[in-house]
Amino acid sequence: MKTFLNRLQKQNRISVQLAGISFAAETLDFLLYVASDYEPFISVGLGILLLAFLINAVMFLIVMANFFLGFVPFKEALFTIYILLLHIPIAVLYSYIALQFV
Amino acid sequence: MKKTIIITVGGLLFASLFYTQSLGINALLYSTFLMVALAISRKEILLKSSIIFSGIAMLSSAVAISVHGSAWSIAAYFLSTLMYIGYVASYRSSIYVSWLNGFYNAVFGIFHSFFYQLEPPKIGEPKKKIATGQVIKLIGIPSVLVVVFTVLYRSSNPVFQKALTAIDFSFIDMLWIFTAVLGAFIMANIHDPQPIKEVTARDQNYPNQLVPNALNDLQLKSVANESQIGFISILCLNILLCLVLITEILFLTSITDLEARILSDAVHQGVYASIVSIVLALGVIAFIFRGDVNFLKNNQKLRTLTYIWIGLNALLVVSICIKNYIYIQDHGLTHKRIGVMVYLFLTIIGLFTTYLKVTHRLNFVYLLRRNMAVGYVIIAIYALINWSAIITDHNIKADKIDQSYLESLLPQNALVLKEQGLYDLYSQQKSGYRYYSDPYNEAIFINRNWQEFNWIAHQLGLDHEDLPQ
Repeated sequence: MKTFLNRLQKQNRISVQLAGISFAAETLDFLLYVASDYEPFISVGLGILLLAFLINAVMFLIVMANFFLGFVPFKEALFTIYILLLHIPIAVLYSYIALQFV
Repeated sequence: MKKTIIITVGGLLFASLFYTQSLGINALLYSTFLMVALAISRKEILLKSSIIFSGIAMLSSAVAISVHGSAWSIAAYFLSTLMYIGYVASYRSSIYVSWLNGFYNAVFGIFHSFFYQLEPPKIGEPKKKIATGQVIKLIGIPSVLVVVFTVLYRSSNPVFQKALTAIDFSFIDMLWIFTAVLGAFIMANIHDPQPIKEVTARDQNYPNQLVPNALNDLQLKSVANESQIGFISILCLNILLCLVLITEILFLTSITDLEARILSDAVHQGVYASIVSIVLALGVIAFIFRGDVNFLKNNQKLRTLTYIWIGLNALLVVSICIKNYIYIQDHGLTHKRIGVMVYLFLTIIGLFTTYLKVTHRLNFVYLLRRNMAVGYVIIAIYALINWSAIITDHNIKADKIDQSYLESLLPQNALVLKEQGLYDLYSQQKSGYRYYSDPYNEAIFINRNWQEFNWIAHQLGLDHEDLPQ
């Protein structure tokens, strides 16, 4: 995994890592909420979601700009964008499951 | 070309079958298409036993979805589909690796060649850079020009304006197109499944047998000490379990005098605690026999004690089974009570595989492989059966009716309720039970498209048609 990430260009590597970190934070918060049923975890989750959305949106724009300027190979840009967008269905799924418990 | 056709058909079929539809016969049709598509791209491994087995499991769970559509059948369907894709990627891998490979292909399959650098990156080729810009210009500039001039001509020519107004694009459903693109993407991911090479190779080369190590005197002493600790620990645990079993027998013999509440506590708390203790016991045995202790020459006593402990744990399982059976006899069937029985069956199999592990000097990976495979098979078979209908039928015949519980099992038990003349009352769900899923809505359940075909809904629909108007 590390070798693969090192192969990516810097901005793409950072994008993938940030997406991974925000996914891990969301998953942790979601699991804590499901396990404890403690409502403040919902607010924390929304905060993480908002922050992740802002960061990933900025990274998305950077990756797109780099791709259109021709600095990044097609598959690498596609993979990075995919990882950034993959966040959306995961967030929707977590929110849907969490709302079932409320 | 073949690849493009498969991906395109896959996308169109996905949207046609699943867009705004509930799960029904569409799952079966899509699975059949998936099997045909993968058979086209991987003819050579089609008749491998793991692929045949996982294919049958996928199709049968899809049939279960269109017959009763329980939550378990849906879970088994997704598990089986991932397993099938995983086995097509690598048919000799363990079941958990096949799930991992299936998930990897479903989500990242299209990027496999990129991960493993199977094709060189195309950066820095001036032709491509120009081509991208050129494509944007080719599409963008004429589009802008056409829109601007259309607006101008529309204002100047009433006939042209009328013709433009007559054009109706309302039949284009953007969400349908999005679903088709998503379906095509999924198909592009899984049309030629590839394994995660490192994990799969490691799994395939990992044997089930333990290998003896050459030990020096110091290491031999350490292993002997470990064996001694294991012997004393298992001896103590055997004595403790004997005492527990004696109290279990006393409890079971006095059960006729106990109140329902005490029996309920004994089953609900006792069963879970006992199951956890058995799982822990398996862990302790797996830990003690994880390595060189297996090859000590004088470990026969430790082995015998371990076999006794496995036997005593099996007796504990039997006692839990009896308690659960008595509870079912007194209070009727529920999903949880059936779940306990399934759990106990799995535990017995776990004890048996642990016995085999100790006897044949097998490693922990063997336990993981066998127990996961057996666990999956049990879940897959469990999911085929409409338990809600069986529970309802049993409880009504045994006169253990809990209206709110039977209501919560709708729609899977609708035909049984209808047969017993309780459907009209129960389908209104007025008992005040708090449902975790959406309450049953007969109109939505019966009025289904062909893609959502469900046997129970079909039968209910036929009954409605037969009613005098």
